[in-house]
Amino acid sequence: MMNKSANHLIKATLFLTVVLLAGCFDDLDTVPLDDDVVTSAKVYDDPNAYRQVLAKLYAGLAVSGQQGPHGQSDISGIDEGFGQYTRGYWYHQELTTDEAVIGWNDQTIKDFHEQDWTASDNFINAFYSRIFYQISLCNEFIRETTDAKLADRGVEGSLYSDVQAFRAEARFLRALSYWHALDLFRNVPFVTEEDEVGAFFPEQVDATTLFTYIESELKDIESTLVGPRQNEYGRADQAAVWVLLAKLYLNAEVYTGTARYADCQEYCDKVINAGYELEPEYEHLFMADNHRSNEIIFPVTYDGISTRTWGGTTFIIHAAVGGDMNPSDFGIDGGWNGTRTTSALVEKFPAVGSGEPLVTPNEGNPNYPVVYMPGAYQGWDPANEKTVLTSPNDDGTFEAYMYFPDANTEFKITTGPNWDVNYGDNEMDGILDLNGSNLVAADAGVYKVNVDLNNLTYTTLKTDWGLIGSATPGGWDADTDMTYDPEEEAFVLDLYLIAGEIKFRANDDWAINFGDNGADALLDAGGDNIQIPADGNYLIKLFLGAPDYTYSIAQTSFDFRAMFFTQNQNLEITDISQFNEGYAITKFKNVTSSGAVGSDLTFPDTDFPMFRLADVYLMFAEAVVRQSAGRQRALQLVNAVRERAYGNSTGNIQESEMTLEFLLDERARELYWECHRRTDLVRFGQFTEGNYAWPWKGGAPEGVPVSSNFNVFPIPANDLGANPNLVQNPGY
Amino acid sequence: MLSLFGRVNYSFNDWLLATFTLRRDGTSRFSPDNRWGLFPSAALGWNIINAPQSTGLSNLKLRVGWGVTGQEAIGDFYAYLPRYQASFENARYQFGNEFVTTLRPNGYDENIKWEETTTVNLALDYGILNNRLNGSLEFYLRDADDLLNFIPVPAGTNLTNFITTNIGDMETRGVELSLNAEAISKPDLKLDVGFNIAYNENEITKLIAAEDPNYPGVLVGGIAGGVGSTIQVHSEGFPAYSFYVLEQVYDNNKIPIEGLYVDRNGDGIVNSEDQYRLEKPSPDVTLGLTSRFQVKDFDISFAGRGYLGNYVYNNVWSDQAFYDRLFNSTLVLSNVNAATTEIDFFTPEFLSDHFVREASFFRMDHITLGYNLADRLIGQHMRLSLTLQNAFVISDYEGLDPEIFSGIDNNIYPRPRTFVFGVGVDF
Repeated sequence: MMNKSANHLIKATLFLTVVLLAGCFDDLDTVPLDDDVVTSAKVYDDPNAYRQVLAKLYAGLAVSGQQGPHGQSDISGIDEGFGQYTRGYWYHQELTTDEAVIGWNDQTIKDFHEQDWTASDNFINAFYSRIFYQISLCNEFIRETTDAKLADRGVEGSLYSDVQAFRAEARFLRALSYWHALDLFRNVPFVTEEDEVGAFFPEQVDATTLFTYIESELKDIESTLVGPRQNEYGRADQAAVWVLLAKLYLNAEVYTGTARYADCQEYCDKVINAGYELEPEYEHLFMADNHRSNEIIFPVTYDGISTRTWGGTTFIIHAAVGGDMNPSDFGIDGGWNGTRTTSALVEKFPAVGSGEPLVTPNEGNPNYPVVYMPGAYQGWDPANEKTVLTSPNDDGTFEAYMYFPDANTEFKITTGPNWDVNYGDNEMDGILDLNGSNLVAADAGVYKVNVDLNNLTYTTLKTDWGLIGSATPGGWDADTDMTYDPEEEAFVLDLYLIAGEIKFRANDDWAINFGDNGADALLDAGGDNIQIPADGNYLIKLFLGAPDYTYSIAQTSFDFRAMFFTQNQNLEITDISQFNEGYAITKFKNVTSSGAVGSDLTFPDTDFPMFRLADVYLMFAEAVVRQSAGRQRALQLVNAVRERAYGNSTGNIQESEMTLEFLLDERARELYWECHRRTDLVRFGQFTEGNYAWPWKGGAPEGVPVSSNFNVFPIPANDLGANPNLVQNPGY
Repeated sequence: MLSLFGRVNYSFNDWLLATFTLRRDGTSRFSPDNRWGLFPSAALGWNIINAPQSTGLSNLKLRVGWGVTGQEAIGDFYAYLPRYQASFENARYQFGNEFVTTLRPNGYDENIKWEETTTVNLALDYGILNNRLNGSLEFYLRDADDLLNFIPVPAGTNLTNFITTNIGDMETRGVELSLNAEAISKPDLKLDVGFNIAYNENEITKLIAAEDPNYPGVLVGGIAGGVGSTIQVHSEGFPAYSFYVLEQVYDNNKIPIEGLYVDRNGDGIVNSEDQYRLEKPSPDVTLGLTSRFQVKDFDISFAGRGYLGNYVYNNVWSDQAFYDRLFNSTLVLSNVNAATTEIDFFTPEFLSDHFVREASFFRMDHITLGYNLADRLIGQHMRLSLTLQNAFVISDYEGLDPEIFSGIDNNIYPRPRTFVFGVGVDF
């Protein structure tokens, strides 16, 4: 028995010894075999890695992971497309405002427009996570490019100076994301390259501290970055730093309580003098070849083949297409029936034809002798004073232009407002017969009718009118057709004219033409040419209802930035879920300025213009107006933006019109759907509460006031739970 | 993965049995400092009775066990190791005229370590009437410490926003009773019956380092419909995968009122802070029943099992049973679920607790009829059998199948019912 037990004991001891001494096995020190994965200890052995990691910092704004359009996601807990940086930024800056609504039912997405989001909102959590993911990426790169580490790796010469530039750009990108954090969340956790990756609880900083940090970072790297327009496309340069500083200063009062408008003006000025130019055609800024633009200062770049995502401009373009819109007009394979705008944005643009009148109608003499023309077209009423032929020379010959809505219209001529003396034509030979058969006009349209009571003859001629002359698109060679508007009782035409001359003529022939002798708005057969003083959009009406014949010309300024799709779209919204409620927007397209489709029908080539020159012009003007200094230059810049928008100077404003309210509206007109709106409305005190309501603000059709705590977003509940150092923003 | 394993068995006069095991496991998923885990276990058995007694008891054995096991299967093979990952060519970024393949530093947890589960169990095995009636009664308590879970990291502290790390503790408790009886045992007539019933409950006892009463927990359980939406939550003090929903308001006819929910926190608005934890997918009680009856050459057997107190979120309804699906914003007709008219919603209301239903059930897994022929035709022995698999289900649950492990029912294909006819021959 003893032996047996001892034996057991020995065996057990041996066994334990083996177990406890184990651990000196090297087999477990494996490293990844995948070629696409390299340990951080080795990654920078390849000098190209610095540029590739920098590319990831930029790509953090553009794509959602290491595989396009999805896969190997950077962040988790949300659909990859929703969690993409630019798309998240768009949701927060646009869906919350008068500029955009979305028809989808994803989770709490409608809370953005209703302004009733909560700290548990997964979209807010995702974008907040994105911002801090981006900051963490930048911190990692900055940590890995200290002089000490570069010296350890033997980095010197041109690689060393390249890496210095990369490092400054990483600090710019970190400052950009911290600015987004400041603007949207105000009081946020603060981490820098000093904080190694690991389990710790970052401290929360207040807005003023963060403001000061961003400002000092940007000023510190300002001179290290390459000059404006000197870097490779897609990478930040000094001008990008200046724009970010200008934005920080413009909103400084919101963030810290201290205004910094003079600083904003100074940094805008640097950008304005840096050689950028307004893109001549506004719409080219948002097309598939917008990388060629001299206006865009800092883009988020996309490519249909090489940079694919479900966020970014893929989202912006697809989501905006639906209803009767043809996806191929936007260079895409299908719309997502999502985003539209509210009437509040539409109404910021002037209505078509609301411009200054140039020539107003002249009624002339209304009391010429008349004969009457009862017929099927007016109810066979000989007493109708409107359907008469007149004799301006009181010589027994009468004339009128009559509109027949139907073909084969029958009518007669009566000398008084009764049937006592009436004429028809029994043989259809052009000779009037007393009590004869009805006269007939074969087609619908406007007929020139002439009656000669001296010889008892008549003629009818159908007339179609057009505009001809050096001011018209066809010059003196071809007419531009007008259309008859029965309600206006006039031929009308809305068109772009250049400075020059015009005349009206019928049936593409000089036989019947009108000019205007003496420019009295009374038309004269074969009269003098009518002068068009300047290039512009004009609304022209020709009134031939009764002599004297007259016309009107109005200069209809048109703001070409009003890029709305209205066919079968209601202006007002009764149900946000329905795509056809609210005008659709056609601003962004995957089509080049020359009409070619982008390289892929699903993933656009169109870059997102994060910073561009027109924004800087308007920031400059606002900073000036807020300080009331140097207004003339500000006015010039504002009018430069407006001249591009109108195609001429008809939209220009006077100095007295350049108010803050005007500038806020002008920013909406110029920059809608470009992620500026929420920040602008907050700065003007119009985002929450009752100063400004737009459809469905606060969840009511007419728009209702919302508590001011919604000016900033809540710190997501996820992070409050994960980091005990964080305190929630007020009101949540 | 590398393991060392040892076991000592000790038996004293057949009435005391002891087993000790010790294993030491190393894994390349964790850093060298955390790589090795030591997992002991001990079991003690006491044969109180192992011969027929006058009381009718023929066997009585008390078992006590204690053991620690480790968990390291977390998907990522190098969770502790800082790595950079290259992009695919469709996720490059434009610098000038070049598309640059990017390199991403991945998130990692240097300190990740083994999840250790300590289990204590106490069991009594019994046998009566020469073991014709036997079974056991067992209690267990399982504490999972340093539970590995996928959770949000404090913003800014890692190169990701979620990471698999050791997050907290979960406790599982249960009791199980089993019973096997040879009810009839004659050469030409046999009836065997087996029955077991178990009660289980689990609770997350600790979730994250930070304790915030407003923190709802880790949102889990992705659903179809609203992209990225979740319907479940891990919260401290609640069972894992609790449903996290809004409380539906009903009209007098018990029809749910679309979009109207109880403002549970009374702040005047209904939002995600009014979500509450309702039930869980795991059953409170599981049952099993098997039986075999034999008369001469004929036999019939069946096996069935049941769950009580398990709940299911009917995602088929929430995603497909609303009128707007008929005419969506693209104006293309889509199919809707037949329950639409009963639920009467125009737009989807994913978070309504109307869709969380009790799914208790009893399922007859199979019924088999058999006939044994002895050497009549071709072989020495021949057996003909007819088996009906998935014979029937008794349940009030209105979806296609109440047995949904995840608790989220997206099932639109019914489980097949299979008839199998078998011929077995021994030559």
